[in-house]
Amino acid sequence: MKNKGIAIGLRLITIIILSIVVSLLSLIQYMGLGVLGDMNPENRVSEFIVTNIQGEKINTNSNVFIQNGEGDLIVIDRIYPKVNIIELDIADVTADDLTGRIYYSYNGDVSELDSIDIKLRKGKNYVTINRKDLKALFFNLPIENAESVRINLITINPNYNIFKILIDSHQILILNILIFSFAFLILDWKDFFQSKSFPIGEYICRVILAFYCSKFFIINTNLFKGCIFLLLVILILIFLKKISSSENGELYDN
Amino acid sequence: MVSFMTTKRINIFVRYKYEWTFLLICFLFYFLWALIIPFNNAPDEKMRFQVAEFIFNKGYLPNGTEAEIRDEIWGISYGLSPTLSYFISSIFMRIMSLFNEKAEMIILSARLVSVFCSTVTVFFLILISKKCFSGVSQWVFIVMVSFLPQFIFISSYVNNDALAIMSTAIIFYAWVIGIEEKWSFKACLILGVGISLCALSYYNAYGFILCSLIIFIGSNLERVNKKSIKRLISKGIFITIIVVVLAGWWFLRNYIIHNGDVFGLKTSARLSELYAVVMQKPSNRPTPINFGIIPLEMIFGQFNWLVKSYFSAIGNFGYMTIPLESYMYYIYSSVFVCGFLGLYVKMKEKVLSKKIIVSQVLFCLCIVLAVLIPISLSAYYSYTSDFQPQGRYLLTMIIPFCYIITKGLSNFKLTINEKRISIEKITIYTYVVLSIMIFCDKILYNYL
Repeated sequence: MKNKGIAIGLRLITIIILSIVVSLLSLIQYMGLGVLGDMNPENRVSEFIVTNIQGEKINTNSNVFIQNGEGDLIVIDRIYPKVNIIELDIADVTADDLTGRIYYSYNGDVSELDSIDIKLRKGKNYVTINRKDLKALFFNLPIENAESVRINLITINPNYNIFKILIDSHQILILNILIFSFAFLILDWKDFFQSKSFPIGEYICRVILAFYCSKFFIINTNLFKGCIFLLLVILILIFLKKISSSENGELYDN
Repeated sequence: MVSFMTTKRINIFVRYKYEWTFLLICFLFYFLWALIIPFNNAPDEKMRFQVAEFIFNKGYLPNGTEAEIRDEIWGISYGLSPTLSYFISSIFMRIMSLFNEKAEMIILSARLVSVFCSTVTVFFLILISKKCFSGVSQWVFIVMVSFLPQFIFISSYVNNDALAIMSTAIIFYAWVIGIEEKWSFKACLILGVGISLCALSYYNAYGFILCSLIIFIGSNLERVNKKSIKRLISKGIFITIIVVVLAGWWFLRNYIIHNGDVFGLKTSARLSELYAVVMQKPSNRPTPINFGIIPLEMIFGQFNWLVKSYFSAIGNFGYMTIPLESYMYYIYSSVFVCGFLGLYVKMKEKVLSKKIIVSQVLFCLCIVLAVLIPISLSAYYSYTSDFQPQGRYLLTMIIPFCYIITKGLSNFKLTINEKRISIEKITIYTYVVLSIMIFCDKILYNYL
């Protein structure tokens, strides 16, 4: 009885640890840090498309050099992933304390903009916008005194603690715990308390599905699509369990 | 009586609950893709939607030459090819407009035709698999088609491909039960409906009509005598009547309004020559035939026609701008290779057994033809008309192709450390998990 209790407890702890690990991995990959959590600032930039006010593409690379333009208004469309920190790297500025303004929009509509004023200095400048659902950024930078301005969009501050990010994204963690609980507890209710062996191949697939489920919910903010996807994953897990249990639940034929 | 019928209906749902669950999975997945992919991020969706919109606004079918549905670059419209899919789209749009008139909802309702067609395809795949396969092989066949990335993609936007593949599924099922039941009334009816839908979908799928003729005539005349000839003629007339009633009107209409051009192809070429931009006029198009390149060079040489078509048949989204990761193509190809290896072993056994049944031989022959014809048509089109190595032109062969692979996989034996590995289960898991990965990494990443 005691051994059974310990076994159940260990399995519950495994589910929670797996949920945290999967959440971290999906957040790390989403933020462009690399699977192993490479904290090199150069690797934090996100891909985005930059156009000028005429709608012409300037560059599709993550590092954009904008050469002159006095107060050029630059539209950054379809920010992905969601940005809340902007790193402005201004090179060879001849004057200090340049004042600029950054406009941002949640739906890409230029008629509905919030803005913040920024004072720029030589070297790297970090501008924090605490929003996770930005759709567009518009810069009005007096860069006539600067040779170039490099704009990097990053999602975390270099000093950010990865676990703090996880706590900030606690909805993802809770969702992963729920998904994992379903995938490893509810689906295998009887086996969970009785069986000692488990089909490794099938469980690896469940972890992968949960990982991508986590990714989906990081990217998507639409409740309707989220519900459909959650229902879809649950049904897929049930279906795959049926397939695997058709011959002793293993991927090996006996 | 009423309670008996209700009980019977409930029993069908309970008895086949996993099949219904799988249908729901497919519907939800295709619907999710349709929800997320923005408009006109799929091949020619805007051009195709214009036809549906024309019917929705005007209440009648276009003759294909109208300026409002004509593309300004190519000079042609999809109004000249069969418009059944767009007609059904317009009905869905009309129903949606009663509740919501927002553009994105109207477009989504038009896309629902492809979603439903693909779901119906899966339904017929389930029926086919129950007849042709046993055990886990049933699900291998179903999953290989329904979770192929390119198949999911065409299920999510306005096109004719989904309807074409649905018609091939219906025809394939008709072949199976036709041979089994010696062309009962039900089999003939299903074949007639399938051929009609095929005729009103995509010219690439017409190979199935030819193969249906071969199978129908060949299997009815297995023993040539008065009775079999009489049966062939009577059933043949029955199927022909169904096809003429359901599909004949389109070709008769074309004959009348396009001066005898039943398929609309000559009219399309003439329009393109008149209205297309200079470089896209048929006489100026940079096609291999115009450059004096031989077909084999186009297919296997520097143009890489076969490789590009193959990979995009597995998965290449957007306007062939969002391919899969390289390793994914290798994974899918490995499954196909295993299938062919298993098939080679099975065929060797069959040949050695020297037992030949005519209807089975015809069935196998037609399956091979049904795979080769769309490839040949696409190659011919690329060589002579417009070089487009796009996998979606080959997709009408997906059901017979997966049938072949599944038959092979069921014979493929792999043993590691004296433990036999179920390649079939691995295939199912791989397809399902890969499709979710592709959805998150390619579709969500690019469009959300």
